[in-house]
Amino acid sequence: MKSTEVGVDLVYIGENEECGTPCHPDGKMNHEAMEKTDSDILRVFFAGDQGALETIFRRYEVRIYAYCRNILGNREDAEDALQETFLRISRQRSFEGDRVQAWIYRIALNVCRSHLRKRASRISRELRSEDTLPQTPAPTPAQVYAKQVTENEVSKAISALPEIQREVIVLKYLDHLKTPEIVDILEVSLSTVEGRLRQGREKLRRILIGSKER
Amino acid sequence: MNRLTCDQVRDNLLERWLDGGLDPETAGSIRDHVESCAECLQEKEALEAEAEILHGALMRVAEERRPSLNTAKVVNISIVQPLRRRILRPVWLGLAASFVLAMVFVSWEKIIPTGTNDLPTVELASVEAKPGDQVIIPVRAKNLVGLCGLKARIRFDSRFLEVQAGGESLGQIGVKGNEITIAALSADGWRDSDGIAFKLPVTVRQTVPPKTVINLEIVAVDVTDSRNIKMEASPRDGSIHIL
Repeated sequence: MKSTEVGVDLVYIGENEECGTPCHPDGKMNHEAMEKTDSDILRVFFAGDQGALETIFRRYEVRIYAYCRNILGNREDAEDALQETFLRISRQRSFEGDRVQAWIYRIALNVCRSHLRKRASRISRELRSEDTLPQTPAPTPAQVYAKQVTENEVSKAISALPEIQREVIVLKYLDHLKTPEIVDILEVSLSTVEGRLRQGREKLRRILIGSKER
Repeated sequence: MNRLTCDQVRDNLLERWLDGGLDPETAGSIRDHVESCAECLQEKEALEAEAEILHGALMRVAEERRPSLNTAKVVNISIVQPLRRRILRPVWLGLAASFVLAMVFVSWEKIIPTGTNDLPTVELASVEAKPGDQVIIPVRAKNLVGLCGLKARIRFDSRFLEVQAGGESLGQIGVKGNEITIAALSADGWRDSDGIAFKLPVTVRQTVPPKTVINLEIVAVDVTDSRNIKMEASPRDGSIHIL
């Protein structure tokens, strides 16, 4: 250990030591090892380096925000849900396995469900929109999207889906997740996910083609 | 390729294949079929186009986030006022912690008045910050007149803040776990009865929820006569050694 004294001034000791964590002598983050896997970073976090969570946050904040925003429907709730998601992660004591993405999405999903449970009026609105849909055979994608739908129309149609269908549609198309990954997140069977996806897509197409015909 | 097979493919299997839910053998059969069937290929391309449209619509909302982050959220960092300690020369006043007396909120960089007696005190100002901000928390040691050494230990929540250890114009800042140690030593005496100002640089973590109040708690303040004292400070581990 190096030790230096200069009069009564303060001096550093241990200047050449290996920097452990947390340690930021240059005032910058030392968690920027972006080549590390999410699992590696989480292990560092659970070993006590609180700053490692910021790396995870930066990797996921856009997707998790977009997920919450599409599920909850407004910016304020989505922002709260994003923060709540990472606050819940920060309170965890450990993480086993290597499916970090599924784990984070599952926490976000639970946060969003908590928000939605507080909104009884929203659920009844969804049921109403479901009841009023024409029960005709679902149009094909080609029929729907040949009509130049706007992103705004698509967003509104997604928000009109029942919650369980909206969850899988958002997970599927926001991050291009495969159905087994959605199974991991929702912790339901593959056939359940596939059923909800199919129903969600059909309903979405009906809503979109209905809005064009009106 | 017969019609029935095309119906089967387009009825269910094509979407399940694109969703990634089929076993490799079935997925291979669908791929072979699509590559040799113009109509099913067209259907596949329509599904892929749909996926891109949905992805675009779902991601569009992410663009709105940055402006709201910069304007909507505030983190208050509170003030905690420590117990005061008398100077007992030349020995340390002791390492036992002084605990919180009061918690007060003030506006940006406003120092709280603490009375007029001559006892040494250390005060933290409060600041408002947004997640991700780097801010300076003003620390003021008052009534340190003469040849003094000062050491203050401040507890913080590392889930919310990152503290930059290192040299400061008046001394050193060390960080270990959830505790900051500030150490300063006067070589020729502090004469400013208004106290000495110390700058504590912190970064508010991005993960801090909105409207969070982050408490910085001064747990110990030790003041000593600086004559014949040498001090070593390690910003690496927060330890301060008096020789």
